Amino acid sequence: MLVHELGVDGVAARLRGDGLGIDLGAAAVCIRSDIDELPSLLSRLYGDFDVAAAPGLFDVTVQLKVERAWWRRLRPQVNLWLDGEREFEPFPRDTPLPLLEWGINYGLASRLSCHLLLHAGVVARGDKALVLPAMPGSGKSTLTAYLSRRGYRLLSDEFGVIRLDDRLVLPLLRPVALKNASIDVLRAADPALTLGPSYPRTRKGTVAHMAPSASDARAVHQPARPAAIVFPQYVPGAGAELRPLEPARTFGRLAVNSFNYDVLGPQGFEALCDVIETTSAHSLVYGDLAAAVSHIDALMAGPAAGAEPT
Amino acid sequence: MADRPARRGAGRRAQLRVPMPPAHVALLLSAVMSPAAAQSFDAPTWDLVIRTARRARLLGTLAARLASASSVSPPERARRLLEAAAIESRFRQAKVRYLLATIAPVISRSASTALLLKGAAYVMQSRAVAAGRLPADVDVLVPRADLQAVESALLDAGWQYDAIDPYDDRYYRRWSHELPPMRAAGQALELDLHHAILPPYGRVRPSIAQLLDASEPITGQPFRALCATDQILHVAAHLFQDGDCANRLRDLVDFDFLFAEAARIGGADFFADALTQRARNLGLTRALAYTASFAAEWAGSEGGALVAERLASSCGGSTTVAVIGLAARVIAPVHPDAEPEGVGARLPLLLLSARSLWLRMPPHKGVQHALAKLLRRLAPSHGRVADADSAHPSAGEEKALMHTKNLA
Repeated sequence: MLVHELGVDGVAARLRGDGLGIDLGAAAVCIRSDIDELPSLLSRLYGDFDVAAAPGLFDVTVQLKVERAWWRRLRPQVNLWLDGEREFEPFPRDTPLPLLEWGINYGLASRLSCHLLLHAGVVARGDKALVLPAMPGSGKSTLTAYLSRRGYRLLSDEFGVIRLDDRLVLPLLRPVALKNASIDVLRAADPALTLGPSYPRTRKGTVAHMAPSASDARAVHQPARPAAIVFPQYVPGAGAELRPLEPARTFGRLAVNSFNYDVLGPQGFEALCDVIETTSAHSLVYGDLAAAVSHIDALMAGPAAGAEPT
Repeated sequence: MADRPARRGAGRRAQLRVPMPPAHVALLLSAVMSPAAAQSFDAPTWDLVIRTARRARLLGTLAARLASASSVSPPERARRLLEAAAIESRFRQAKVRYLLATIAPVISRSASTALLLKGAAYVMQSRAVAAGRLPADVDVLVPRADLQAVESALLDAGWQYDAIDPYDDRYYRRWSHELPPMRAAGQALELDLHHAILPPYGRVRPSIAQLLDASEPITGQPFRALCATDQILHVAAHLFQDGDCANRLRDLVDFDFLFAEAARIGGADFFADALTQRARNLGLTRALAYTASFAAEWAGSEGGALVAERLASSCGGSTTVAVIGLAARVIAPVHPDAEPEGVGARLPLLLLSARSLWLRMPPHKGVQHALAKLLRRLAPSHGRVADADSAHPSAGEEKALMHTKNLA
């Protein structure tokens, strides 16, 4: 059953009861909340995801609650509880969704260490995955979201999840957090886009969440083979330039953009080496999204991205 | 504090009465103590047990115990979450070894002898209790006379203190048995330098000379470890003589594993006798009796039962009943889905915190310290700094994505 099939009331009942379980692909989350606007927000942004049975077994369980203490009534706040522990300072009452998404990211980042976890967007064409690792602020989410509207399947905008057994990338699909100018850029790119509300004045400026497409949500259990790695860097006014990267440089940059390369020890080292040996790697400086996409199209269609693992 | 005789009838079973653990804790302990119990878990039970274990910092231990029980095959998602904890444990233990290899020459140069305490010792001794453990810091004890030399040698070698409030710094140096935690570039873990196992002006001050005399070498290491009885007494002292007991379920498991391993040599009865005798010599009878009783009642620890039986006559009375009753409320992690706590639920913790102040320092200082902490809480500081009594500052939102980075 899909989340939107529960209806807003059905979602609300689950949020207030045993929780709304959502299957994200490589992980499942359970959300409980008493916040009035959350059911309709979640039906919109997670509408096409599969419901996971709750009570059940989840990677991350979060509770989002309005702070009820009397001295908070003047300046209402929401708290996020991760397994009963409050890992964040409260957010203002009117920004529950950014807090929820942050909290889920935080939980996922610390719980999926049985895979190699890259800080990366991932899209795929057929079974060939393009991994876009980058530091925050480099235009990764914008490019990932844009590619997902230009014929690529979205696997994740935050986590490149590489399974250690077979080095395949597992989807870990979430709404994409678009920031500031990117919101209008994506709206212009696809007028049919499902967007959540814009939240001004968060730590990263204005944030709005983009729902993944129904077909992406249906495919969360279809892994893809890493075929190309591109390190994006947004530079206003630049066109788009793709430059090949040497394996040693690629290694260093991937390791830095990994959540748990060091935690995995030798297993992490070997997984990273395998991924680099079976993919092509480039850096991409871009200011023009359309030009960036045509470079990426050429890259993904070319032989460099087609190398079979040996 | 002198041990009072028990006010009990001769016919009654000589055991301290410990209230039953909450259900989620009983489930976790059953899986840790006898992994076969997990065979019957359904998905929601696995969820509850894994989340409770994570809060109790026992998830790695649970993973290690389940791995040793071939009869249990957890569902796929549980297997992955347990595997993640096992990976984290391997990583942290490798970091313990690396830290010790780095400081070994520095300590050897500056201290006449040095002991590893708790996790660091268990890891370097390859004890059963180390399996799956998630050490957050490394505790090293040196004689008080060497403390200054060791501290300056470490500072010269690149170790430094986190930004710390002047009050906390003074507090550590004057009233604590350890220096403020130290960090060094390239080290994932903190280093805590001790000169005693309990605060120097507390009610109970086990003789460091006795602890050092009985200590044992660690194979291939310049460091030594407390002997088997003293390692267990250190667990008990830490739990009931030095802290507020909050979320210390792990200590009960440690007690049982350490006891079981040590008892393999001369037998459980022999070791229980040695342990209780040593507790009397060091003034830790009460702490040991409480810990053993909880381990026996909650974790079904055989060693706990043997020790509790031997010590039942040497403590009792209304203080014991009160402390055990309060500890039962806070020793376990709260239910992962529990509603945020009200003032009523915090009362036991408040009383136990007051007790720990009373045990750790003279009354006038305890009152002064409590007031200083209260004032600081009422006047929130700009930019949090680590509090001397809770070394884990509350997480900022920056932590979110770079969480695992912060560990490293």
